Amino acid sequence: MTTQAHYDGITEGTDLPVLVKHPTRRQLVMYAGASGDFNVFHYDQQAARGVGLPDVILHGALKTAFLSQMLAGWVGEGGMLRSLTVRYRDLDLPDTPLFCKGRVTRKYVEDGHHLVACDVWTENAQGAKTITGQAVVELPSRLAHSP
Amino acid sequence: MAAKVPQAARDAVIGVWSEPMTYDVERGAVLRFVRTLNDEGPRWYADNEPGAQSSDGLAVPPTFLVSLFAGPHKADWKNPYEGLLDAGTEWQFFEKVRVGDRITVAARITDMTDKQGRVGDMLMVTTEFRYTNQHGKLVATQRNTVAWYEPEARKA
Repeated sequence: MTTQAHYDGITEGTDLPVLVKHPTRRQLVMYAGASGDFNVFHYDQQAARGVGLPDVILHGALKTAFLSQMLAGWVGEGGMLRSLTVRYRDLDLPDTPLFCKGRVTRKYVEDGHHLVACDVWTENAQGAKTITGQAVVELPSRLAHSP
Repeated sequence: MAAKVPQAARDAVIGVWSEPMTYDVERGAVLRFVRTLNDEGPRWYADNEPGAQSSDGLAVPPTFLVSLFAGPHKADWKNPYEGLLDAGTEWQFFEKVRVGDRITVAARITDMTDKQGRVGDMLMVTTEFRYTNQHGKLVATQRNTVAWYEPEARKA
């Protein structure tokens, strides 16, 4: 059981807990089946090289799912991911680690909802950002329920 | 840069909604999705425990919705490109989707723009997806942009 994060305990500038993924070729096939994205560039090396790619590449949506996994894990059952916007900056290949990271940029209350805005990104093993984006999450507030 | 897709073809497809498709959100499909993320936890197996709480009502991973495809598009554009790269995605979530929900998804292309990039001539295509639950409530939207390109330009 993880501890539920609360709005009141969040500080702007705080780094989110890093989620490290180790995507494999098998995982790309599994994701193709689970998501329905059977684009050959994600599992057929020859086809990938045929369109000028260095190897099979991770699905963009898989990387976004990793980021949302990081965010959903952080906000817990009592919180909710409200928005996630990403730009794919570079390709990611299997068999190399991918680091999902984020940082709180702003916290604010809007229409009674306690919201936290974050920059989010993925980094490859060389430290280059392969996805950049922004997320907004809603968190429960202890103060909101105080008498 | 010559536009490979004529404006008339774009005008015929942009803004036209697909057929809607409706899906029951069932545990097996969600479990296959969370397994790909190595995110499966004991809650997904709760149904197997005698007297345990059902997995009905468990919130699904936010982007599980990508696995729910919209119905066929009523208009088509003859895509001359072979290479495909993801460019970006914008998700908005209004309500959690849970196992046992019934979700209807429809999609439409909202933009087609020619662009010159690292891989040469590209056609950026943005598609909007709208996900509605069994109560008629909009639970999420997605705006997904892909870049179509000519493979030869990338290999050069």
